[in-house]
Amino acid sequence: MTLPEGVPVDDVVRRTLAGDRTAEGLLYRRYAPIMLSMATRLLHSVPAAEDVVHDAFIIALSRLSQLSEPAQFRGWLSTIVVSLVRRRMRRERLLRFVGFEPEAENTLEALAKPGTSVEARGELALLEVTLRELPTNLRLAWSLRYIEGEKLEDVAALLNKGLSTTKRYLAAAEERIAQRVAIEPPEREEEVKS
Amino acid sequence: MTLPRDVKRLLDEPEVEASVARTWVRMVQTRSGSRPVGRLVLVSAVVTALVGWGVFAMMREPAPVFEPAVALQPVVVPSVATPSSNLASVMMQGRSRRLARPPEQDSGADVVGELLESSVEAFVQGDAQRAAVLLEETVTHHAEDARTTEALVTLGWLQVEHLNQPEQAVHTLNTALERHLSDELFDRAWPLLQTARAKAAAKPKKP
Repeated sequence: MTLPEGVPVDDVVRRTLAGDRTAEGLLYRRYAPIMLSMATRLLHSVPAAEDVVHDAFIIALSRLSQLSEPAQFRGWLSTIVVSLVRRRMRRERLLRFVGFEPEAENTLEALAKPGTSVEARGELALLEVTLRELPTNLRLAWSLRYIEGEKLEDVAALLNKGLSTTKRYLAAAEERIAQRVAIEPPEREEEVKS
Repeated sequence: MTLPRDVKRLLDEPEVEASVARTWVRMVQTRSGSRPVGRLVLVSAVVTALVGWGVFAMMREPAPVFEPAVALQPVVVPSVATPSSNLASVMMQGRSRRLARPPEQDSGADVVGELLESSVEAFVQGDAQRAAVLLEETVTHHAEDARTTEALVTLGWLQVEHLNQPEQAVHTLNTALERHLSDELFDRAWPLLQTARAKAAAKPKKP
């Protein structure tokens, strides 16, 4: 599911812009699996992740001419995906508030690797519940940083927020998560301080 | 038990192969969605106009009938000898046969055309296996012919939808996609490739 080696992404983006449908398909083949994995981990639901990635590609392909640096396609697409994930999380939070609990079949516990201890699975389930209760920005910031493993600067860029705001989100999320879930403290102290 | 900070380390990569295929099919449908709507509007307008015209014609008063001033005499046409129906039918059949064939087919040059035609016939008669063999023959021995690209996509379709050979279909469709496909062919080939991949992944492996 990847592009042939040696085909630079900016070249494929330019070919797509020129109307080459094969290049468009290649672009999809390279990035759809990555985006679907990320969206599934963030939303804990395959249908929801499919909706988000579908919409993200439709938006990205229709606005491709606005991408100033074609080589940055992945980051740009990720920003669109995260923005749609945030919208989806907000809607789910609202639905939960009015009593409709959306189904989540791909929970963190369900995604745990075979061989993960029962205790660790329990903590993952607890983390899942805690994350769901967090405000959307906090949940998204923490998930991108510690579940997706993105760098702090990248989390800020994906959220379209400043570095200090992102740190504040992370600190607030950390405070609530640490109260309920047994998790290692963050490596760098400054990341959780605003 | 304390969770590691890098939670991702504990998680498996979600299975996304089937999602990739499904999402692509949806994207193709979404992006071509505007055309059917436009066509629907046009067809609705035409139907409305026709129905309106019909109702108007029915409600209208009948047109006055004018009697001829002079009585017309019947005209007698002399009978003409016609060729026997058997001969006419043979001629027409021969003519239509000649018209249906391209000129080079008579000289036996259009082997690819013959193969494709035979493949369609085999499939219509329910022999998908033979249809696939004929298509394989076409793409293997007549690769220089432009029609083999479509033959490849059709072969891939047969392998994935009728012969339960998703692995071969993946190979066939990848070969087709490496060529320069028209938009229409690409739209057929790409979802098929995704379906073939999903089926190949779901197929139990032989021990």
